[in-house]
Amino acid sequence: MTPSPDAPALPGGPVGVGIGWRREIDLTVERLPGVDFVEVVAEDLDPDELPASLGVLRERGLPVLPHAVSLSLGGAEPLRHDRVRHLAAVADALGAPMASDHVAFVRAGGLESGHLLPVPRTREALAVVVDNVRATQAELGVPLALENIAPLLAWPDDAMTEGAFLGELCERTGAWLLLDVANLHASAVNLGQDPGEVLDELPLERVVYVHAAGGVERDGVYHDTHAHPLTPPVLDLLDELCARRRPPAVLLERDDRYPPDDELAAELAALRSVHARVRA
Amino acid sequence: MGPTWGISGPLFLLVYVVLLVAAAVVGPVLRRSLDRRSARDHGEAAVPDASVEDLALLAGGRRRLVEAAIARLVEGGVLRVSTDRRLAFTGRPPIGELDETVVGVVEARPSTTAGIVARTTPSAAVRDLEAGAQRRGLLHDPAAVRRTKAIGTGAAAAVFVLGVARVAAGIARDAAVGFLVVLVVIAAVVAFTTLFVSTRRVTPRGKATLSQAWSREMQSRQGGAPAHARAPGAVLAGSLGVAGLVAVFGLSSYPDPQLAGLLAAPVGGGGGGWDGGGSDGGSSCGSSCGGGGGGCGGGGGGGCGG
Repeated sequence: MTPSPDAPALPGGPVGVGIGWRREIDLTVERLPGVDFVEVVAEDLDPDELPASLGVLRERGLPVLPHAVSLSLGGAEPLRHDRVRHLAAVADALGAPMASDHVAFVRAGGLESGHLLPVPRTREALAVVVDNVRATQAELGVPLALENIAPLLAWPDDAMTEGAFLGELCERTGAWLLLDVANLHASAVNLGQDPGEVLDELPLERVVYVHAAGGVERDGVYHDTHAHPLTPPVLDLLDELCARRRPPAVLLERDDRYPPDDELAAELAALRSVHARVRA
Repeated sequence: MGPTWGISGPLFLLVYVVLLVAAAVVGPVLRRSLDRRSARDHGEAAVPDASVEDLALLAGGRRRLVEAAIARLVEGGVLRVSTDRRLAFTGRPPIGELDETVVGVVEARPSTTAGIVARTTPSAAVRDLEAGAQRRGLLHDPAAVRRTKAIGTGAAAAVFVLGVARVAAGIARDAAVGFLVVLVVIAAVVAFTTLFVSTRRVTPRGKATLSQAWSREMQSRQGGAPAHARAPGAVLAGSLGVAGLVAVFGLSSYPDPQLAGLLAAPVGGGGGGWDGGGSDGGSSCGSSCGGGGGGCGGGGGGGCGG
């Protein structure tokens, strides 16, 4: 296995270190040193009225990547094409080289859960996700990347490992991976899943970038809060991933309790130091 | 038919003019005497160890005090501002009662500088700092100023009422009242303007203190400040620091122009009353510019000499 060069796996894809752009920290993101790209939550944006701050970033040549949370690609219900079209419109307005969502469902029986819920890892479920991903790809106009979620529970009838499930999903659909190392860590703590085994099975050459985020462990349960500092185990997992195959880019997700600018800059620097480390 | 009230028209006009002038000057004269008394009690020399809070209160009252605290908190990473001008708390603990109060207000509801100022000015922390500045002879006791204001208003109102009575009596007797009517209108205007005298008044010592900070800053700018120190983001402050700069010159003097633009109230954007609508009410513009500049800065946060 050869570690990848820094060239992006996906043509025009992100390279380096990025941060999730949020309105609350728009000026911070504009002024932070060492930001190579940003990600935006697609559902928060109107493609016809993009925030001026994103224009500032784009003028500097920074890729702005839309990330969706509501497609419910793992859901058994018919795909909401209006949401796919919205994501496509946002990606188009941003001139983004790709877009992403999660391997999860957020909707069942007509109810929106408001959370990303895990898909049972069965052959039947995989077939459903493959169909949904293909339908999404057909409408999207840019490559789609899929993200692993941080489940608090697993389905009892899981027939496949997470790595095998995601690997086959990528293989059958040609989708890219948005690998969340904090979610891998959450699965390790909460479900006892060995993150090394997941990494073994994942097609790491399909990873377009990596999500890293902070969280807290309470009473033996890891909460992927995106509201706390990065923890050493998450950085260690990033390191382990980079040792196997360095992903082109890594992004800090922070969604609440935004710390001072210097602390965010330090977190980006920590990610960069792990990501850029020269490995034997 | 003799003259109205037994006083001839010209004589009454003369007496009325004297009374009117007296009513117009009684307030200022009394306040001048407050100044003299303060100078006797506290001296006229600048306070050597004036705090940022003192300077802010002297230069722009409660509003400026809170603005200086906001500047300090933004600079220290305790608050952040986003492009929608909203201030938010970053979680970094503030130090000191005023800063804690400001952060509490921000935490309760993130909003623009103007909103935070309006909700912070009535706080105990602000009142305490103001009381401290009064104790140290930098600001006059508002109650004393209020008395001078009441006397001034009362005197002008009395002169106005006297004039109205004489006009009425004159009209009843078909006497000429034209000149008097003009004077009565002037009396009304004088009475009205006395209502706008601020009760927040800077003492001679306070003026000297602010003037010293102002001129020192100017000297340090003209003196050494090299061009690169004027680059965006560089701190221009000679000795004042960011909060001190904002205290003396207003939020538009925040050294980072982008942040200054977001922190200072947009022009015409209604930044709230000078004193945040506090009990002091009214406007107190321009009473205290040490360097002789400035005045009110038309809502743009530009204070004295800025």
